[in-house]
Amino acid sequence: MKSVKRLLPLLLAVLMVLSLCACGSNAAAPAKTEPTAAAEAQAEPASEATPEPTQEPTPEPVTLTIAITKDENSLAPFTYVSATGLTVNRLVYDTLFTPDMENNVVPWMVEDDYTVENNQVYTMKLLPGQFFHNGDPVNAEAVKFSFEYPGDKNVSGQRKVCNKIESIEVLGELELRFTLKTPDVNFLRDGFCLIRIIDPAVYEGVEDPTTVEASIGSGMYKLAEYKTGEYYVLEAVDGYFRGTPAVQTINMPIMGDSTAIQQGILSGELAASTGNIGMEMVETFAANPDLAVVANADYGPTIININNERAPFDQVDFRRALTYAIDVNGICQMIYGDYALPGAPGCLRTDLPYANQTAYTYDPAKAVELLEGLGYTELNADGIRLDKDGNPLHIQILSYAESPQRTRICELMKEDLAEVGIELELVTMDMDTADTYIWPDFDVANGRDYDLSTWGWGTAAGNSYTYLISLCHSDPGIGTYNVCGFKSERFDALVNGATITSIADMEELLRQLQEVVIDEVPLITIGCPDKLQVVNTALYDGWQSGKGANVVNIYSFLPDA
Amino acid sequence: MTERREMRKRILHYLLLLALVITVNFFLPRLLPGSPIKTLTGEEVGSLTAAEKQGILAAYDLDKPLGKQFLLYLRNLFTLNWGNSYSKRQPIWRLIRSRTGWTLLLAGSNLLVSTVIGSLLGLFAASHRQSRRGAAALIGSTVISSLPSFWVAMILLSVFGAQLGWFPLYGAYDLWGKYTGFARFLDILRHLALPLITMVFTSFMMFFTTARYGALQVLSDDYIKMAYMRGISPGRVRRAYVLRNTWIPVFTMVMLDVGYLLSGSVLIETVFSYPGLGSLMQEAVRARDYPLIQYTFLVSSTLTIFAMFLADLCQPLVDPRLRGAGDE
Repeated sequence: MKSVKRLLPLLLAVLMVLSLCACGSNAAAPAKTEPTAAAEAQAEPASEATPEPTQEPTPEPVTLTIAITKDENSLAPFTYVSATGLTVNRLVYDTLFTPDMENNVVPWMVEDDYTVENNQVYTMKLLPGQFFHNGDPVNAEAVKFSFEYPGDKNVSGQRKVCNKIESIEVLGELELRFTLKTPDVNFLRDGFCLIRIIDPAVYEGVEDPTTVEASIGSGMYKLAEYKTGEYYVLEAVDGYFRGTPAVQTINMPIMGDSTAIQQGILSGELAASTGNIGMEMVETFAANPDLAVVANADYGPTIININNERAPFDQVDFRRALTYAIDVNGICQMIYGDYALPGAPGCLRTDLPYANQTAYTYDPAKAVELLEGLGYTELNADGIRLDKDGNPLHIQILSYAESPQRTRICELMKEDLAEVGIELELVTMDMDTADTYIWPDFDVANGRDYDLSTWGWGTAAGNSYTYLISLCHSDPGIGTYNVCGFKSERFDALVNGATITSIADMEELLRQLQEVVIDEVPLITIGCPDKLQVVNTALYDGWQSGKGANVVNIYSFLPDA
Repeated sequence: MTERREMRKRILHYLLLLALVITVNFFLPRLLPGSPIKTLTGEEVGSLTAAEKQGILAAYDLDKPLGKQFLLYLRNLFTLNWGNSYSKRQPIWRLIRSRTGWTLLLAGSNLLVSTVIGSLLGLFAASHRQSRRGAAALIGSTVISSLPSFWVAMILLSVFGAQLGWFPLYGAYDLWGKYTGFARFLDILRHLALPLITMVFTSFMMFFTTARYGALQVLSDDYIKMAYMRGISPGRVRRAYVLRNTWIPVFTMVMLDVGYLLSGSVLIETVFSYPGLGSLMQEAVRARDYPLIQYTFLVSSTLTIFAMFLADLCQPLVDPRLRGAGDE
C-alpha cells in the first residue's frame, strides 16, 4: 500500500505528460498535416478504374513553412536589417530589373525593348497590369517617386543610388526615361535591380519612412501578417502580372538558431530556410530522400584583411611573405571542401571572364627569403623571428566569435605562420565589437586598429563591377570598402584616369587593377564559398536556385510556364 | 516607532538603489564599443558620407553632449515617453509588453518547478543521507545540473522534437494553428515543455543544495531528536519541523530569483525561438539599440529591486525569529 502511495504521484505525472503530448498532437494536427499539391499527388494516384468526375478537382493551395533567420522588421525597403531582409522583401517588392538564375540582369517590370544610350540614358516601358497590394496601379509616376523619395532620406541605403540620377522624365502612363549624372555601366544591376518600387500614396510627405508600419509593395506576395520576433505570413497575389504564384502561403517563423532550423528541416516541419548550412551537414541532409542540397556560386568572399598602415604590414614584401607562408588553397579546401572557389591574389572570382587567373603559391621557403630580406633573420628559442629591437614577431588576428569557420581558418593560418617563424595570436570577439576595430563607425576614413582580421563582403558587394575599386581605392569617398587602408598611386591613377563608357572598358580597367593588387597585396582572399542550402522537395518541387541567389527567390514561386 | 523608522530607512535605501540603476542604465549601453549608426542606417552604412552619418545621429539626439542626452532620457523616462526602438522601429513599451508575458510564463514556471523538485529532492537526500538513495540523489542531481544548458536544449530538441515529434521545435504557441480556449492552453503548455525542462535541469540544483544543507542542519538539532524520542511519527517530524525550518533559506532563494524573472534566458529563447525578453535584450545589445537596452534593463532591474524589497518584508512572516527584532 505504501509503495503504491509513493508511486501514485509519479504515475499521475507520467500520465499528465503523455496526455499533454497526445492532446497537443491532436490539436496541432491541422497545421502540420495540411496537404500540399505534391503530397496529394503522391497520396492519391489517378485511378482509371473509378468513374471519372466531369470536372478537374481544384488543387489544394500549397502552404510552405520556411524559416527566416532574422527579424527583418516589416520587410519594407527602409526597415529591413540585413541581406536576409533584402532577399525576402524581394518577394513583396518588385524591381524594374532583376538577376536571373545565371546572375544576368533581365527586365522584370518593364518590356524587353528598353534602350540604353551610352550607359547614361535608360528608356523603358512598364508592363501593363501591375498593381500595389492596396490596389493602386503601378505606373510611371510611382516608379519616378520610388527613385526620388529615398534620395534625401537618412535611413535609406538606396540614397547613393538615387543620387546618381540627374533626371527622371515621365513620357507616358507607363513610360519613363532615366538620365544619370555620369555614365554608369553598373546601373542596371546596382540601381534598377536594387530599388524597390513603392506606392507614393504610402510614403508621400512622410519624413521618416521607418515610421510607416504597413508594408505595401507590388510583388508576387503581400505581407499578410507580421509579429515582431515571431513570424511572417506571406500570401500570394492572385492575378500577379507574371502569374499567380505556385505557393499560396509562405509561413516564415523567425528562428535564430541554426540547429533548430536543421532539426526542423530534417523532421519535415520546415520546407527550407533563408540561411545556409555548413559543409559538414551536407552528407546528413543528402542522405534524406525528401531533401535536396543546393550549392551555387555566391559572390561574398572570405578575406584576411591586412592593416596596410601598421608596421610591419606597411611593407609590401611582408605582405607578400604572408601570401607565400599561408597555404591559402589548402585552407580553402579544408574549410569549404568542394563548395568554394579558391581565392586569388587578384581579389576577384576566377570564373569571371575578366578575372586574372594567377593563383596563390604556397612557398614557405620564399616567405622565409622575403622575411630575411626585411631583416627578420634572428630567431628566439621558440623559433619565432625577432625584429631589429629583439622583439618577437607577434601579430594578432581578429575574428568573429560567432563564426567557427573563420576561427578554424585562423587556427590553420597560425600553424602555417609558425613554420616561417611568425607567431599569430587569435583574438575572437563578438561581431559588433570586432567591427569597431576593423571598420570604426563604418567609415574607412576613421582608420583601423588591428593587425589582421578575418572578414567577408556580402553577395551584393562582391557581385558588383565596382567591388575591386571600392575595396582598394585610397580616397574614402571612392574606396568605401577599403578597410585595409591600402594606398597605391598606381591603383588610384588607373581608376581616376579611366573613362568608362562600356562594360568592355570596365572589364579592361579591372584587368589592369588586378595586376596592381597582385603585385601590392592589400589583402588575402581565402575563397568564395558557395551558397549551400537545403530544401524539402517532397513538400514542394518548384525550387529554383542559381548564381548568387537564395532558394527563397521569385523564380522558385513563379507558376509553371 | 522603531519599526516605522526601519521601514522608512529601507524604502529610502531601495529608492537610492533605483536611482543608481536608472543612472547606470543610461551609461552602460554607451560604454559598449561602436554606436547605433549601422542599426539606424541599415546595410548600406558604408556608402554614406561622414556628414550624412552625423546627420542621422543628430536626428536621434546622439550628437548632443552626454549630460544633455541624460536629461532627455530622464524626461522621457518619467513622462513614460519611451520612444521607438532603433532596431525594431516600434514603440519600446509595446515590444516589452509583448515579450513580458512569455518570459514570466517560462521563468515563473521554471521557478515553481525548480523550487518544488529541488526542495523535495534536497529533503529526500538529507533524510536518506546515510543510505545509497541519498547518495544517488546527490550524485544524480550534481551530474544533471552540470550538463551545459545548450547541449541539453539541443538534445531535447533533436530527440523529442524532431525525431519523436512529441513536442514542437519553435515558438511559444502554434503560430499557424490559431487555437482558442482549452486547445490553446494545451498548445502553449506543449510549446513550454522543452524550454522548461531545459531550464529546470540547470536551475533546480540551487534549491536542492539549499534545501539539503538546510535540512541537514535542522536534522542534527536536538529538538528533532527530542521529537523522535517523544514518539512523533517521522512523517510528521519531516512536515512540521524539518520542512518548516528548511523552507526559510529556500524562500530567500526563491525571492532572489523572483527578481530575475524578467531577465529571461537568451540561450533557451534562441534555441527554442521562444519570444522572451532575454533574446530581446540580446538583440538590443548587438544592435547598440540604446533606448531598448535602457528600458529592458530598467524593467528587469526594477523588478529585481522590488523582489528584494518584498523579500525583506516577507522574511519576518516566514521566519518568526525575525519578528520584533527591530524593536530593540
